[in-house]
Amino acid sequence: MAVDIKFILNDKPVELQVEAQEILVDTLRERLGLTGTKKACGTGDCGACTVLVDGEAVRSCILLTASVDGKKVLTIEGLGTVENPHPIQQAFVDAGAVQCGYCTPGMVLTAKALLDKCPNPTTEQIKEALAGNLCRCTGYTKIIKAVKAAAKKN
Amino acid sequence: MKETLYFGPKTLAEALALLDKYRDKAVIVNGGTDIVEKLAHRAVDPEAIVYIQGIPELKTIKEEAGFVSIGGTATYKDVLASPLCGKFAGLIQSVREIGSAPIRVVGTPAGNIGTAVPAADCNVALMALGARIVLAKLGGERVVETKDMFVAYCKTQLEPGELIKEIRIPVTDAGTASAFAKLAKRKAQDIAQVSASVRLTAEGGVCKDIAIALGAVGPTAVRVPSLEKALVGKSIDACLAEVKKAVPPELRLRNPRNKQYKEAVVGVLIGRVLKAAYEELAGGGK
Repeated sequence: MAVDIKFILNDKPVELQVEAQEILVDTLRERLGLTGTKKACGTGDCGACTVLVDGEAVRSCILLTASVDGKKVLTIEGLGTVENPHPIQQAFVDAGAVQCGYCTPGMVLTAKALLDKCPNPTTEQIKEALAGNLCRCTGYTKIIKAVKAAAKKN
Repeated sequence: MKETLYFGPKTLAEALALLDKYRDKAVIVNGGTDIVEKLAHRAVDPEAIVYIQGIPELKTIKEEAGFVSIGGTATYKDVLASPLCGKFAGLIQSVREIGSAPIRVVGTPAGNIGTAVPAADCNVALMALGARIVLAKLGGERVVETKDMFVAYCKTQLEPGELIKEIRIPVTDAGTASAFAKLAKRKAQDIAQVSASVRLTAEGGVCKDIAIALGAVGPTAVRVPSLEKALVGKSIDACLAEVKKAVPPELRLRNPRNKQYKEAVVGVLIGRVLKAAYEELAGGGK
């Protein structure tokens, strides 16, 4: 393995050896067992693989794992649990903003990045923030509703 | 198979030393929105990856000596947040068209220049704005105009060992404005079918100076000197009438499937950006 890295993953320090070309979504899913991060298009277009790096929503399928050295990574596993869901996750459940569920982790994390910076977003701001997250079930109306509800709860 | 090495230099000097050592065996990763996918699938398989986002000195956007200078690792998000870049409406309009917010957080103008896709939105705006690209290598620098940067499909003047250090956009006065627009199959997050950008200097309703750049009409983004020359000295109304049906000889369309479409819309699109830039001037200019 070519590179030694250290980073904070879901509030816990991680030390790993990775290949130079290794992408974060593969590291998370295949080496760390965190399969909440989904791999769909693999080209950075769909948003299913969204994670937060230093608070910013980014695409883990076009991010070299080595480049998160020294940074803070948050995946959906670090946000809430089944017993104790994060308010955004609860809002998605309450609004019925989940159909097949494949886009949901990315949607929730993108919503978190938005709400952390902008606690009371307008519909337009929510749409812009989520524009890069594709839901092929096309459940956008409920997703936007869920983000609004989560903002209200905060 | 030899294992690829990874380097994350923290200074420009360190990065240039690495690029000088590995030359054409090195791949620069900036925002990585294009290249990482190719690396991950081994479509590109270098001896060394040089990841440059960790170089703080290249991250700055500043104004000096008549130029707004965008550092080589500044992201599209940085550009959108910069009041200095906000002076160039065409630049901002082009950047807002690029991908989605999570792409703009990591993607960079310098990276897209290096990739040199002919449809890249920001490259077309930078070309119309007359931006100059500073290429650094160990022991020296050179400056290349954006219009001369792209030499073939996805190929630039960048030599092995060189790195895009900064992009310098000449600051203009109140009589000059710019605009960018593109046509794509979808309204958002799509690659341009045709894109156009203009930098217009006008006085009393007359075109004093104009730069027009087009994207996705050939193997590289291009300036359109034939049309630029024809428009200087004419009223904006006359210019708008002239560009509407124009099919400039600078177009190098080969695919018969979309040639007819692109030829039909290119003049309309140039008209749109010309009108938008003129309206900005009429509204006070920036």
